[in-house]
Amino acid sequence: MNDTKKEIRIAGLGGQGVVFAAQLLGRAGVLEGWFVSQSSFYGPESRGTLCYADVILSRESIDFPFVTRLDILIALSQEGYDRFAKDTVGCTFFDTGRVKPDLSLKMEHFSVTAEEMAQKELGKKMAANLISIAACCAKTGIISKEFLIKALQELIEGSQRPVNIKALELGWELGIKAVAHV
Amino acid sequence: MSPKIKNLLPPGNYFFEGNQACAEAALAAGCRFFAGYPISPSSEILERLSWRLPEVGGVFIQMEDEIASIAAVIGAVWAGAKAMTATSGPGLSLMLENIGYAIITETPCVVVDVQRAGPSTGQATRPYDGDIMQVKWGSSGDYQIIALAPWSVQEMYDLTIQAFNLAELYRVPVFVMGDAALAHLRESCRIPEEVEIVGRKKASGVAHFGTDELSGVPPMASFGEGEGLIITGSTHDALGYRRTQDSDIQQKLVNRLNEKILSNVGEIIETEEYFLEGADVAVVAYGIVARAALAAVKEARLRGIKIGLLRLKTLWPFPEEKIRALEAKKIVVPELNRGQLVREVERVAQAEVISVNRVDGEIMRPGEIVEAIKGVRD
Repeated sequence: MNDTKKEIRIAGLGGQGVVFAAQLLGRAGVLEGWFVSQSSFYGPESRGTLCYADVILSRESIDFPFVTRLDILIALSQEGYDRFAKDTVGCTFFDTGRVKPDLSLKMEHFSVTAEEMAQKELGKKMAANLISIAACCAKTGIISKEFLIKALQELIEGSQRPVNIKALELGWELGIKAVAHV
Repeated sequence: MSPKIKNLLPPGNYFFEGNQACAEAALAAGCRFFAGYPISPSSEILERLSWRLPEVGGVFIQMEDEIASIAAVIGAVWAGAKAMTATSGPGLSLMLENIGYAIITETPCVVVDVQRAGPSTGQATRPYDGDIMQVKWGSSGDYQIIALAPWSVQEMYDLTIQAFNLAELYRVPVFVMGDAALAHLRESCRIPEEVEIVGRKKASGVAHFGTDELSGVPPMASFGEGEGLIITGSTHDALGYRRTQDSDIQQKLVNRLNEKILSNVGEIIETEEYFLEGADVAVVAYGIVARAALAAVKEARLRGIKIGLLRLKTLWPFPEEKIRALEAKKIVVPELNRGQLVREVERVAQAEVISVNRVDGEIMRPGEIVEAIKGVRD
């Protein structure tokens, strides 16, 4: 993977918090000192259909702000995995409850029990998005936990904040322990 | 003339979508009235202003359609406000009649056109450079408008402020030509402590619709200030009286509406140049496509091709002199359409012009432009 530039795609279904997760990752990237661009793609009929959002982190200013070389895929749904896994050159993080990966693809696959943990520990399947991005950051080292939490505090106020911070912490633990499937 | 005013947001680096940056820029520029009708991919501008305008003492109205939206904007301007609307191609089509009215009444206003794939309803969430000609030629008669093409979230902010300033300086509708990709792209956006804004030039007891100079911009007045104002879309004299049978006044008015812009192109037009010195090939690009073009130019230069980029921040008035001054033997013009602005480039260029197009509603990639560049050189 290129150390001065990371191109990350979060792919799932509309309603899974794909765009929010990318926005959080992007804001955390800015706090961490990266140049960042974040874009999202969805149709007018977005809920329940394929939705993906990209984050580019770069040490230099970004000329073209959209993905041209996908380093990291975070797959929250089978549709998202099937569509983009073959274009991914670095590694994939996938939600074990949602995605059956094709391990014949030449890249590292990291399984994250995101939705399962979200339900079990937080009573909210919806937090799987934050668990997944935190796991990715912990494993790859692209963004520190401190800035993920700081970005979250900027984006979420009030009573929903603690449970979302918990989701990031859970994901971080899963990410540290994650082992590549080969 | 250009006082610096304190920004409404605390200065700093924000992580904004293009549409959010545009809405905040309008507020910073002094916009206190927005009327609009929601349409993808521009709706976030309307949504943000629906709660931000009341916070700063402004007025937000969601109208019944785009025709009423631009009409309300024109009315608000004559009541003394700085005003804006935002739409996309199909909405712009509805606004065109009243945009003509804004032009002949010399009503300073800002129209943000977040372009999407067309014609008609087309594809609501897909980027396109579909309205480059519509903004210039869509209304009736002979006229000039100003259109700016931001290429980043930062420029959605900076050029929206500039649009308000130019609107006041020349009493003309100014268009900010965004697109679906830029509207929803998030990037760092620096909000400065102060912004330079142009206030409305007003005077009482004088002509508000004509000047002695052939290319002058008359001062305005607002309703409620005691001035006798007649505002009409018909040909009018310097005091605003209808003169629908007078050929001298028709000629003088039409020439002034055009010349007040054309005689000031040096002040209005902004472009950026990258690596153009000694370049055999020049890429001329604008908007989000210019981002791909810059990446492509850098890559082609690594392969030993002498190539540079001329980026147009101003689309209208068209930067003719900048194109004419290009020394390259070939000019490549990438656009998200079947070739709109390229016609203007061809009209004035001294070199062979190659149009590169994408019309499937996807973003143009640097690789496509690199391929086109290689083809041109061979």
